[in-house]
Amino acid sequence: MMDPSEVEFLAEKELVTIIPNFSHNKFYLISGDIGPFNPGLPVDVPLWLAINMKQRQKCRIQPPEWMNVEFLEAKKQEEKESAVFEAVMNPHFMEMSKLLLTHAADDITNADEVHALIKDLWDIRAAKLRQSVDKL
Amino acid sequence: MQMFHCSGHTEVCYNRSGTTFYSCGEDGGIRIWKHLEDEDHQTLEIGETVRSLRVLGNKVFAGTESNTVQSYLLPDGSPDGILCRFTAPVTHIDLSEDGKKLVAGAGDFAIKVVDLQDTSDQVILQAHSAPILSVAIDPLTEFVASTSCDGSLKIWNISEKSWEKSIVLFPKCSDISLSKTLARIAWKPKDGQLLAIPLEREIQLYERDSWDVLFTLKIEEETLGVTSVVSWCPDGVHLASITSVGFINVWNTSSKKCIKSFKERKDLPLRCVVWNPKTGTSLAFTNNLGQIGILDQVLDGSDQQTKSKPESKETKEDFTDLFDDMADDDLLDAVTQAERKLQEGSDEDMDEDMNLDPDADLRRKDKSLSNLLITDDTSQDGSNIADDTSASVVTEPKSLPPLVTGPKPTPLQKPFIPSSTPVHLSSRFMKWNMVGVIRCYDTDEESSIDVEFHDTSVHHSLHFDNQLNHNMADVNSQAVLLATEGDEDTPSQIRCQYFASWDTQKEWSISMPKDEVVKALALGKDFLAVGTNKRHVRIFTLSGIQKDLFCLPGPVVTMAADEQKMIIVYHQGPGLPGDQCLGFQLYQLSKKAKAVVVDSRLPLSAKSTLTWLGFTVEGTAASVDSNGIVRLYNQQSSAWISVANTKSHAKGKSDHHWIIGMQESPAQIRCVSCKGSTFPPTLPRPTPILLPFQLPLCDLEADKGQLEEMYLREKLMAGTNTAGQDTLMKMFALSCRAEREVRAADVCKMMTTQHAWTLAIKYASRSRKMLLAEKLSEMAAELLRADSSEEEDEDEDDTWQRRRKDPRRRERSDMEEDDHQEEEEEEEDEDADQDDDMPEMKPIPTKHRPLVMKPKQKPSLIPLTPVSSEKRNPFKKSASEAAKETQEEESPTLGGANVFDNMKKRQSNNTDGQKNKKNQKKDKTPPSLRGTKKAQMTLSSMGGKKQEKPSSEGTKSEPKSASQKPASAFQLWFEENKSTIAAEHPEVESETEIFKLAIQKWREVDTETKQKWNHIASNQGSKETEEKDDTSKHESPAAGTTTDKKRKREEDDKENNNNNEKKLKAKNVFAKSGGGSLNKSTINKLANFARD
Repeated sequence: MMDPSEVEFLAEKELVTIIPNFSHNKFYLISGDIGPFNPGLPVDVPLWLAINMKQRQKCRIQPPEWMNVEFLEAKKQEEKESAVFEAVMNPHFMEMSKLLLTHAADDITNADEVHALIKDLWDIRAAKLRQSVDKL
Repeated sequence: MQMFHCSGHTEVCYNRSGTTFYSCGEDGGIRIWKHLEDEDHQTLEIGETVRSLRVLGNKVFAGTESNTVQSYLLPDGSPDGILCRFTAPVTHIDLSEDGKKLVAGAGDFAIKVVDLQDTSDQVILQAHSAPILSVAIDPLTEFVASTSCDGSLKIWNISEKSWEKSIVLFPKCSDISLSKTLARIAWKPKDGQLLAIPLEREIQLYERDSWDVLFTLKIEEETLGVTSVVSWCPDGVHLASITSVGFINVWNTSSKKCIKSFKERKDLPLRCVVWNPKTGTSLAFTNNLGQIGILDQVLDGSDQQTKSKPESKETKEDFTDLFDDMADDDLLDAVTQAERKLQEGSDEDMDEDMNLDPDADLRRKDKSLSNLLITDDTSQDGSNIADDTSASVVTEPKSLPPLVTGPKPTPLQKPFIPSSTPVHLSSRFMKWNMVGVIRCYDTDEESSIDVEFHDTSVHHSLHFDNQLNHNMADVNSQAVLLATEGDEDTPSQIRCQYFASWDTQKEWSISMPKDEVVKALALGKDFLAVGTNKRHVRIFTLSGIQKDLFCLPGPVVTMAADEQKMIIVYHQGPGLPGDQCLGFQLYQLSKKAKAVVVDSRLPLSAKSTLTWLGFTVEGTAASVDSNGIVRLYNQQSSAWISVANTKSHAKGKSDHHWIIGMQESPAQIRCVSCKGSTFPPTLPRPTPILLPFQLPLCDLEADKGQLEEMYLREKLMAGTNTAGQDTLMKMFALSCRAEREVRAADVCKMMTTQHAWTLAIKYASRSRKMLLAEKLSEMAAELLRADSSEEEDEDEDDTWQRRRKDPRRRERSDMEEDDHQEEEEEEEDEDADQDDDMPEMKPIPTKHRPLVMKPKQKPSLIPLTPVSSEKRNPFKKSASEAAKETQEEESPTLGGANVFDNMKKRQSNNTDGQKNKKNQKKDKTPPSLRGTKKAQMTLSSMGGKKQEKPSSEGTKSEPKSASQKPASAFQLWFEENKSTIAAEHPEVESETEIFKLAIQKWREVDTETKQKWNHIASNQGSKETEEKDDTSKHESPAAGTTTDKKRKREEDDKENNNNNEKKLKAKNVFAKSGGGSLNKSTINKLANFARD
């Protein structure tokens, strides 16, 4: 069994796009090379680094493609209409959105709505889970 | 006159066929009338006050008080959707003649142009500062004219979304209900050559494109009230106007006279007047009591000219039959032409063909028309009617002059700031470049400018108040530059925020002389430049000194600067129809003087405009045109090269890429992708994306095309001779595989390094293309000879210098043979290596490792004395014997080696001769130096980057061949650390193993240490040479100062080797070179690997 912090730790390995406001050469991590950082140019970094940089006001985080109201609404509808779990946009969408919405809410358009939609999506899925457990 | 609507603003409009008319008013209904006394007229209940309406086919478009333009379907009046929304009641709408565009103006000062085929395609025109009074769309749908309560008339260019002309003509007021005039303007039908504007006591007619008053129709004394509405008769000659006290005037614009005047009985203000589009003779009008009246036969009888138009058409139809009988070909032809023309003229839809017809053709037609009509008349036996017609017809061509003017000059492109969005937006980007973003907010509450830097370490964000209405800006890492265009009262001004200055006065501003207006600006390193409407370019220092002033040959379009470079684009003159004719000047501003680097034409795609101008990060001038073609200026070839097409990356037709900047290595275009628009909005914050470069070469789907594109691009971007050699090798291999030997040879000719040549020859010989290999060797020899003779002439001094610097060279001359031995060894070594790689090499030859081994590679093309064992240096036994063995073992098995042997032998004759010649010329030059010089140069310039001396001369003189290798940093380091490594890994016994470990370590050692060792190595190299005077007879140069140690090691090697031989054989791919040679060659090779 994994506890939430462990799951979050795993989710932090997901790549997100940031727009740094500094320049730095590539740096070499065990998981792979990151950078180079050019001010104003998008670059992919792991979530943990993005959050860290965001907290130090070193970058803006570009929300993942799926983190917008239209997409999530469509997804929610899909989830509602289906009896089984629908494929989610990212296995760690919950953790990612939680992290992003807490630390980089200003970079996400309609952060509140996105938050509500993600929560809805989660609730629908949780309900499905409960239902299937009950059936068992 | 009938009462139809409740009192208030009432409008009327005809359908296209003129059979029915529609009226709307404040009672919230649209009524449909067949005729004025239509008892069972239909009413569409809208429920909203309809301020304006237009009818197209079975659709009624209504601008309502509920802030929308609604569409209703006829006949039942079912809603057909909302075309556009505003934030205030819609005041007026207009429909284009082709029925494709609808334009609406509203009380929220905005004008929207809606595409009726795709209602999501809306253009918003905003610049008026009061409710819109009226809108009118040009029949050619290029322009929209609008009037507003702010008193201004604006003429908008729809495609540019900005106004071209703005004049204050009307009295100002705050709302349409307070306005004395409705200011309903009208374009001349069909060609839109004239725009009629009702002023208080006159009607002004503006000419298209120049937007100057062409003529004015003066209202007579007896007509009272303010003229508020004009309407063109469909014939394009007559004009109706109404006044606020019930007068209706009908004008003839060709005679510029009022031909009729009517008076409505009650002196009530009239609100609307329209012509019946079909007959063109009757007028419908409304007053502000909701009454509608119709004036029939306005142009009947009293004015012959009026009547002539519709009539003449009918007559002609008759005449066609008539002339058929006469079988007069010319005349018949003329008739049909004339008829067609007339029909086209009266057709609802403008025939495009007609627009495209060359003018000469049109003129001919016109002539034939008048001829024809005159003939008609004469054939009519001079009846009264005919006389009338003839009189009218003769004047008619005069009244339609716009059809026959020559090719219209293309309007000159307006000046612009690269990477900015249009000025009229309330929130816009003034500049977005590699340094930062300047945004401008211009709303009622605030007017400000924000500067944000991508790199926060440059400067923190800046915020300016924008009271002066700055609308141009630039930013670099030193300063922010703002400029205003000024107006009548205030002069144009520039303002510079020099934040990088080290004193406390960071800001300064300066005004332009009277009437001089800044049109373009650029910010470079330590200078700024502005281009003005007086065609001046003024250069200031960043501290505000006026440093320079010069004139441009034409109106400035845009300019850009980077470091010390500046590029200015200006109009050179009118271009071909649709094209701009732009020139550019590239300047180099140095401390002393400014120099024009080049002044020439700027290429653009057909019928496009320049949209971006700037420099790449590397400082190459770049331009982008409205067709999305990106061009770079290649200074070497003085040509613009198209390097990318941003449109090819766009998903939709209306998607654009808004360029921010460019970089050459890695080749990327930084831009913002705009979906369905040409520029991005400020919110949500756009994200830049990167697009690659791709030269528009043919056949890019095939490997060949791709490789060629890659090579050209690499060569272009790098600007050096040695770029793209890898790609060339791929091309070579591809040609070989495709059995295109001549092509392969051509590829080879493009190669600039000896190394590449060598590889190519090897590859050719291995893939059994003996003929090709032979040809290539010949070519190589030729090339080499040409090169060396060239060098001989050019670099005489150089050679001397080099020799002085490198005394080792001199001694080496007597050890020449020894060197060659070594070279051979190296070569064989590599051959062996390559041979092993062969299976892998065949499919993708460029994956081969030889490229990695550049530094040690000794080009085999160098003429060498034939290898002979007698000449071998006895002191070098340990090293060269091994080589000998290798060679003897290897050469029979290697196809390549054979070829080379032959080649060498062949060449040696040539080169010997050459050498002799040289020696005669210059005895002191050792032959070996002659022979190897070129090779060494090439090698060191391409491969020996990490090696000792950075300066080219230094590198040239620095020996790179295997014989000098002992001085390499790694080996020195290895000597130092060997014991440590051995201690660390006691389990490792063999020297080779330790060596391998050492290599791994060396690779991990950081660059600084490596440099240090390199330095030591180079020092030692020179020391070594001194020593060598004494030791050269006894010691192999392969050992240098470390010879003793080394020799020991080598002996150890040998011992170890024998022990480890079997083990190695299994593991090591080089095992087959066997015995002691294995070790030596392996170590050498590995050492080189490590060095790389």
